[in-house]
Amino acid sequence: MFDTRYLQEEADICIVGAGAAGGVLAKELAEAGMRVVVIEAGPFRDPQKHFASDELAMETLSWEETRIVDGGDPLRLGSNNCGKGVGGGTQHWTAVCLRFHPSDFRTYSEDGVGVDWPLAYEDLEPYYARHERELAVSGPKHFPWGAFHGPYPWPERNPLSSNAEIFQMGCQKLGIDWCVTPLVILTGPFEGRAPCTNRGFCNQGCMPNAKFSTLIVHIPKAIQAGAVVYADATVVEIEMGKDGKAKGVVFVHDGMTYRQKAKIVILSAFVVENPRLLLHSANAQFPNGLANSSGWVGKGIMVHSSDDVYAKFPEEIRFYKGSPVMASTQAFYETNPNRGFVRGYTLHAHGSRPMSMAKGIATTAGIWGRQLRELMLNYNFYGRVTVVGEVLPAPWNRVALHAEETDAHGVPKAHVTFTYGDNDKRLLEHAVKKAEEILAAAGGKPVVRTHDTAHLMGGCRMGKDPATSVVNRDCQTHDIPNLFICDASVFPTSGGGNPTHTVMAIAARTADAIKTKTVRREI
Amino acid sequence: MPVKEGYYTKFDVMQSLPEWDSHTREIVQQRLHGSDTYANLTIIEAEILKSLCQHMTGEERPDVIQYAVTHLDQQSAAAKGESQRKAGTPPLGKLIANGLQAFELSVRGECIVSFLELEAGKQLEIVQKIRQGHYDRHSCWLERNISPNVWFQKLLGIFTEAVYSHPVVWSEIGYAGPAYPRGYVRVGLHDIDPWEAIMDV
Ligand SMILES: Cc1cc2nc3c(=O)[nH]c(=O)nc-3n(C[C@H](O)[C@H](O)[C@H](O)COP(=O)(O)OP(=O)(O)OC[C@H]3O[C@@H](n4cnc5c(N)ncnc54)[C@H](O)[C@@H]3O)c2cc1C
Ligand code: SF4
Repeated sequence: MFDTRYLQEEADICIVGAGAAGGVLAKELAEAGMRVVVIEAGPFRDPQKHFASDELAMETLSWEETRIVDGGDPLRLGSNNCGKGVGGGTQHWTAVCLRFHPSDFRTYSEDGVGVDWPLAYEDLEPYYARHERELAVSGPKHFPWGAFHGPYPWPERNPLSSNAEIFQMGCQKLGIDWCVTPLVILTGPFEGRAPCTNRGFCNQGCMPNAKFSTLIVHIPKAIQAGAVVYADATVVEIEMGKDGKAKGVVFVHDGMTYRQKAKIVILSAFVVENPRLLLHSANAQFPNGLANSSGWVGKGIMVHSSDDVYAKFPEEIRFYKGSPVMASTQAFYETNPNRGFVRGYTLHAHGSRPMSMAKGIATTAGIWGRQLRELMLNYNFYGRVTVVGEVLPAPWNRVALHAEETDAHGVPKAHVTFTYGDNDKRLLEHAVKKAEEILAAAGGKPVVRTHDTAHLMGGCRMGKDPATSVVNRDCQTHDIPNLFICDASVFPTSGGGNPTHTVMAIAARTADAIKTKTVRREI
Repeated sequence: MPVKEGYYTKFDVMQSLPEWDSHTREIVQQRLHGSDTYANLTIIEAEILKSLCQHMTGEERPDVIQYAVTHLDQQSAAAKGESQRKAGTPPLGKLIANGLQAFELSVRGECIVSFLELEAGKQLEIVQKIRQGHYDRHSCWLERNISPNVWFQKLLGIFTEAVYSHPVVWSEIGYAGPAYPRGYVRVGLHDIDPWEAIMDV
């Protein structure tokens, strides 16, 4: 049903995108008594009815519209990056819940690369801690790296999947610290939801609701507090007033165009769509796109390098069982001058279902035909380790409007350019070698490496200086006081671990900032 | 019954069908009844694609190949978007159709006859040549603005995702498949639930 309660009025807050950040913002601001409208391009799904335990069918959870990819290392998008629908990427994420390390916020000061954030680890610490409690994060008693050493509020997963057991064996043989991965996946009943049943389909959407997503947690709470969600509604423009402030947004639902007015507009439409909307909404006052006086809108996008190493074992592993990631190491996270590169990475034991394994191997490892089939006949004998490697920001990695092609609504398609830098490449080679060593120490024979990336970030980075950044530390655009951008796109650097815990911490902090500024009438 | 070559010749994942939720059941069952009517492809194109699928994925069972080709046809006809497309590459439907034309012209130029008339060994040789860049500068590809390798990769990706979504292939590789609501109970090394595949002795 299309609930148009706020359509005729001016809402206090209009949030574009109901993903990881949008969900948190909606709940926090609605619970503070604000009149919140969330506009989400994709559907409002019911996990029990609309999810299925099927890889191919559930590709629809992702943003499948065509983006033009370019550069030395063109990105694979779709199921690999972006969600579509209430819950956004959290519908199909793996639920690995890691905090960033303090050094991630100071890469320029510490290593002379990237830029420093206008936030420090300590600014996000209370929000990390709150989410871990509120979302029942399960994890080890002792987490060996970074600033937070546990214990996590909920007990770690037990038993481990076979692939995690192998990872553990390999690490132990080599003397590498490892731990059971912190996950936003229930290890016990919580708020009427049941614990994980190990079916392994986290990336296809969790049917039993054991895995956290904003679809099943934040959005229902936001609605309970009075927020209105327009689903299947694509925002195509941000409307500006003559006073230089945002008036609201224009969106399309079921072929009809509507306008939603709001006192504050927050873009949480992810790394590609935020810059696309800002650039497309250019007008006489903002000819280069909204919030773009610095010229940084769309620039500095980052991924994580995320190659996989498969090793064949003499015995069956069956890595289709259990949530895909259950064991990890961050032993190579911080800069070590002896390694020939700066910054670092996380390694995860990472299970896989047949479709993504076969497709990854066929399309990135150059294995096809009989060789592919023979390799896949041994599906049950493989173990896998996946890299999450830091990638440094560069202005040439960017989202721009495509010069010729437009989408069904007449908005230019996104033109996404990406090329790894030298440090990124050296870091990735080191990580892949370590992954191979771990699998070999556990008794496997590394046979295939597939190329992949994960986790888009950047494109509307936060910073102190309006000349080199798009938003301030509160995610408020430097140029337009009532226009906020809040999600993975505000990351100035990428860190070496999964980013969404940080996305949600930033969103909760931004909600607090908006509440304070509104009370003080600063917006 | 198709011939299996894997370690699990007695395993049939479809025996667990009653244990799956109805949405998953419906999706997987449909794959077993692959249709042979096409939205975009001509019968000849579909036949060429079937042989290409066989060479590219090493899959030989007609039912699985039929499903893969129908899946490709549906993908190229759907309005939902391609997630990403390399700059300079035509949209999927055009890439496949124009690539097929260029492919046939290359084959006829080299072998006089259609790809379908070649014996399997020769067909494979041609597919390998595509992969090795042999046709990259041929005018029939250049005129259509299609890179043979991009075309090959696109077909390979779509065929592979279809083949490894087919329950006959799941059974063959010993993948116990969908598991909602029952889940898996025994997940550690050497632990196997009673409904999982057991290796032939
Ligand atoms: C397969 C996979 C596994 C992952 N696993 C992990 C993990 O284990 N741990 C981790 O930390 N991270 C993981 N991630 C990353 C995680 O999903 C993202 O970091 C996170 O979802 C980003 O949050 P966001 O709020 O920035 O954007 P999203 O969650 O993507 O939300 C953006 C929303 O905006 C909507 N939208 C876009 N444009 C418009 C528009 N014009 N109008 C209206 N709505 C619009 C989209 O439909 C979408 O719902 C994974 C991602 C993938 C793809
Ligand atoms: S493995 Fe657990 S968390 Fe993941 S989808 Fe299955 S039940 Fe949900």
